[in-house]
Amino acid sequence: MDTTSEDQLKAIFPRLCSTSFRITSPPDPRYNCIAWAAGDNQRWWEPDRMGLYYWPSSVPREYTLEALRGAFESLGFTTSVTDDFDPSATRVSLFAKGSQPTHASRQLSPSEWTSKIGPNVDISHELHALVGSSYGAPSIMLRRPHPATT
Amino acid sequence: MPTTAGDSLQTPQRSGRPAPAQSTVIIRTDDPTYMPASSRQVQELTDLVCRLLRDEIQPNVRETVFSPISDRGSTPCAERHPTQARFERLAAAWRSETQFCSTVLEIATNPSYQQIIGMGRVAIPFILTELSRQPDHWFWALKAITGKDPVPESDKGDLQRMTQAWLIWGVRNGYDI
Repeated sequence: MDTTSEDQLKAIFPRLCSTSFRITSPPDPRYNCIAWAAGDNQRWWEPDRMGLYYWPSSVPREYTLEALRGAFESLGFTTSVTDDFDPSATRVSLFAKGSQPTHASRQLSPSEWTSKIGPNVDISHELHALVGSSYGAPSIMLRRPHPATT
Repeated sequence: MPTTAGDSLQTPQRSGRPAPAQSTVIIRTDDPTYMPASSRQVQELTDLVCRLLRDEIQPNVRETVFSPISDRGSTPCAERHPTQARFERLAAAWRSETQFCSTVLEIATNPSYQQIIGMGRVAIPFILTELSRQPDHWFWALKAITGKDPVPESDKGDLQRMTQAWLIWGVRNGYDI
């Protein structure tokens, strides 16, 4: 895959023009945004009906927000009732256009999120910088407490 | 070794059937005298046909037809076989148009990708060659064309292992990768 420039990303996500973001990996078709948000950079997660790709076996293979939420619930995530950053938990935001799921981002710090852009690059960005005609807007916030350390 | 049509082809005759016209060659696999051709015989026949028809083939096609297969991979896209050139054009458009798509559903319903699926089995060797160069999302097309999915359940989503499974499938099914 050719090198992706910041200008290409700004064309897809115009709000990146007025916010701080950076490309943090080369293009990689091996994993997608859902996998990346779930902490997996070895598999492509997809609820395709043909059953070609990985999808948690307990979750329906359908392109719905509920199925996407179910995939993260199968990993121990629950719906978050607050928008505040929680240093004791991993938080994931599910994007949607209407009822159609489009994307998942994972929070790194109070103002920084990480996203895999399809088969392309990873970027770090502000959450609302990806709002627009491509991914719609954040729809569901999920959280999972960090494992207790001994 | 000089080869003539008489050396390589036999025209089986069956009693009770009208003899075919002198210039017509009919090969019947149910004839008791029929023997399958070896690769060498096929090559000899191909060489003979090429020699006999060289002047009949349009100049712009001749270079492709008569160039060694090993040389064709290094020729510019426009000079390659039209089917390969078409595949490469569609594949390039597909990559460009889907590089930011989040789902394989979007990636595989891209019009260029759908046209590659529409090429049918003729696209398989090109897809497998692409896969051997770099894992990518060709699995939807391969399953759509072949009806097969050689990837074990435990390897779903792992592009490296999915690629490996399809390349093994290709070799087992006679594709030269």
